[in-house]
Amino acid sequence: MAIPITPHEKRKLGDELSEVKGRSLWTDARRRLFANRAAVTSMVILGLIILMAVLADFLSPYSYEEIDWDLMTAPPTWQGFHIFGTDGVGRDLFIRTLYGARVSMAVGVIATTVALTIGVLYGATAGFVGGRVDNAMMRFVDILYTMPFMFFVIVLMAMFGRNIFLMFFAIGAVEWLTMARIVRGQTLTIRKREFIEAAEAAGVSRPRMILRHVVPNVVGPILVYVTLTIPAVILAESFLSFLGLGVQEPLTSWGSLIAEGANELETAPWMLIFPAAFMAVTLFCFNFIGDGLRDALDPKDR
Amino acid sequence: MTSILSIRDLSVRFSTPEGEVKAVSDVSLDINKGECLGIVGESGSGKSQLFISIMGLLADNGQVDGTAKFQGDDLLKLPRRKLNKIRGDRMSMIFQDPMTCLTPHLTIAKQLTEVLKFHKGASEANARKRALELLDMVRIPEAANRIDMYPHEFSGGMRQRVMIAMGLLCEPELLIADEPSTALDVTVQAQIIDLLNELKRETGTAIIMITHDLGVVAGICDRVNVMYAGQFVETGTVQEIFYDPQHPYTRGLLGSMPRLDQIRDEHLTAIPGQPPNLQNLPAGCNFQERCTFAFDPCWQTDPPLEEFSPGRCKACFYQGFDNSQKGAAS
Amino acid sequence: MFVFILKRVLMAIPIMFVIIALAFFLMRAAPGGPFTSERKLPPEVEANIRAAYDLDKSLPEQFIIYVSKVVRGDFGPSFKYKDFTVNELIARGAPVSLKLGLWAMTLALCIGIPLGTLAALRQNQPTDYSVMAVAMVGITVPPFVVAPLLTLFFGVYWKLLPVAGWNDGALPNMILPVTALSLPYIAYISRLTRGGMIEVLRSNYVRTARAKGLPESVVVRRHAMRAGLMPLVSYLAPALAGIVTGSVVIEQIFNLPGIGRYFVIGALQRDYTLVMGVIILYSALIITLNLISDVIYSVLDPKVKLN
Repeated sequence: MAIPITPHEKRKLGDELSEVKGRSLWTDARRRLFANRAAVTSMVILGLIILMAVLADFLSPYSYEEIDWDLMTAPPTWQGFHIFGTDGVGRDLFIRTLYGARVSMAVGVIATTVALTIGVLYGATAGFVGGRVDNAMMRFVDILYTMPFMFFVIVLMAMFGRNIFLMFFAIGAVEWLTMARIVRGQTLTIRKREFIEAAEAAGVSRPRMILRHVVPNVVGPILVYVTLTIPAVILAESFLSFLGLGVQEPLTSWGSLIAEGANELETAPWMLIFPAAFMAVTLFCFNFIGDGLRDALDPKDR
Repeated sequence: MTSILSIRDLSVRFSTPEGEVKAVSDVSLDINKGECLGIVGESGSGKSQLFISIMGLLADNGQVDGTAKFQGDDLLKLPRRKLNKIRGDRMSMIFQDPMTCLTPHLTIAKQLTEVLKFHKGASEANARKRALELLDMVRIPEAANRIDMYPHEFSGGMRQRVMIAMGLLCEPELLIADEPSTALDVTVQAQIIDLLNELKRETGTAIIMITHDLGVVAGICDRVNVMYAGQFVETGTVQEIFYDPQHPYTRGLLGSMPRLDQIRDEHLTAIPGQPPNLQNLPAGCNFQERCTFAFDPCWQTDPPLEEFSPGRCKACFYQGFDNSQKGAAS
Repeated sequence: MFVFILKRVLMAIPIMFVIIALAFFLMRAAPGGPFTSERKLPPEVEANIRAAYDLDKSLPEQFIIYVSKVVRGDFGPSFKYKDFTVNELIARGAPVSLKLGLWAMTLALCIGIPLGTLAALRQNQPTDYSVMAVAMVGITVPPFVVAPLLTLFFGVYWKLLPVAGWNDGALPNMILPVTALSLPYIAYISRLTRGGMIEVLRSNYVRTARAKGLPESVVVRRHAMRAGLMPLVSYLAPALAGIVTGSVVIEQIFNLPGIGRYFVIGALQRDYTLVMGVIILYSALIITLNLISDVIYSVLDPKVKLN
């Protein structure tokens, strides 16, 4: 039912609309996110862990590779500031856990960036070009889904040597598939909206349109997926490291530390507990932030 | 007359992250056997939530207060088990939006017969026979062939009729029909109104017709309650409401309805503005901002719903409506 | 339906071919070979061995020979386990891995679905929160942390269950590995179930079913469950693939003679044929599972027509 509007009403409506616009999607989402206690706590804890990892060298008098033959598998003690104890060759576990955090987080972030880049470009292109190209591109993704990727990664890591950069790309190459699907789905729905038609009518070129108009509008779901992919990648890395296919000694990651700890569990439980706890807490935080973001960006699911 | 359903001071509130929303505030109504009561209002006026609440189907964040006596039992206080004995059997509801109201993975037969099996303890064969009868009655062509189909194989109009058949299976004493014909085209709409009229006459079922379509109201209702922003603003018989509307909102509704029985010498007039934000109701009358008759008291006090002649109530301070000249507001 | 399955099976053939080619050339591109690390053999002996494994031929020739063997179901001799063919190794390892995986999946479904449904029915209540908290722990604490802890407590401290070993799949030997393997999937499945059920429980047709006065248990089982579990069906194939991958670690920790273990050892020692065999087996498994889950999906949802 169309309602004729008086000039007075129009002015009022205009005010209301600008008010609505002022509290846009993002402002609204941020407000909801910060109202979510679990997500906020997670952000604080995650921030602390990252800070600790960055400042690792200032927080401990030891270096991550310093071997102390006199202090092998020492339990946690304040004496000499081995607060997490030492490992089998007397290296300080506190600094090693923090260095592990560096490697694990770096893998998480970089591999996710790789996945993100491939996924967004691929998905946005498929969704935007549409038709037969879209069909073929998504069929290709379907086929890749059926491949036992983790096994390829294992083969890669085992045979090409344990190169950390190889790992970034190997894991990133596994994770981009879902990203591509999400981006494509978003692009498809957004493509049908008016502002794209308007841009098209205004003669904006296609690549430009994808970059300027489509990409910014799919940011929400991607952001959610990214925060959920980082922990998945950290897990994947720790999985490889556990199998002895991750980073090389003396450098370490949470997965490698856990693997060492698991072997010494009976005699030196702290070697498992501290790295495992750090990793679990980190993954917890990422997951809570991801969930919080999703709820914040998708108000219908309240 | 004995009333079948008697609602007193019923309120429905929803808690949302933005605060509490009062969708229905302190409404009361009675409906008698064999009567059809129309509940008229814009979408969002709370008319559906009012009846969803007495069916015990409010969303998790909703809360209902007051009483709703259905033949002596307060529906709002009954335990789930006892309520289940009433709803679907002695009282049933037809929902709007037929496209999503049927379970997609069950056949029509299954969805109809389960009601009879549960409430009447009917055998599979008997339940099926009765379901077929009703599908015929709501004029589903070739019902015998279609009964074993899935909802998605039916058109929207057909699904609405299935919904109606489902509501009538147990010959309820009270039928609540929420916009039963809105999704349908005009001819089908007329058929359904005929069907409900027939039902009312033959079985004495009381019908509550929730709608925003005054045409439907004229076609079937005996009495009408006009609802605005969660409250009733005017009540009366169909004649009274149509020919002597006493609330500016009712007059607005009537004025925005195209009429065939009148020479169109004036444009349809729409009610300006939008319903108020239920989270943040103004002081005074809820209709004040859209009302051309508003005067001082309207900004301060919310006019109560008061009976001004037998069976006639309105919630408005303005007294000067005289409809004796034109027959209807325009 | 039949045409659909046939089509998918036909489509699987080129996919398998691509997987085989990819794995084959990837491995050969890697530096080193199966015999480089061993003690120096006399050149003529090494030449003999290489000839025996067709390694003296050109790479494309080897590939053609290998593929033609695989088509006949022969995965060739293992490079490292000298007295065994890959077929024999798989025949030994596969039942172990399969038993482990299936039990883990069954356990995950049997616990995850009821937990998720319960959480959905008690949404935003203590039950819901505690189920979801436990699920979060299941997701964030990986099996290779849980497994050693389980071993420590149940095996070493309390001496209730064996610490490791297969013992022909005896129940006590199965409990810890299956539990450790299934935990993350119990978590995922209960989360998925909860999400799906919450959405369905809010749907209009569940409201209709409740309005009919049906008991809540009937509403949930008959009207809500089916659609609520749909997300699970499409998750089944990836979940099983994940369990298969996860079992690699579990087999390592509990020292179980499954194919996952053979695979890791094979990859580290460049046992080309063994690694190829396992990859082919798992690819075939995953493709089949995807097909099965699509078929189940179409059976459960009358609106989906396969084509």
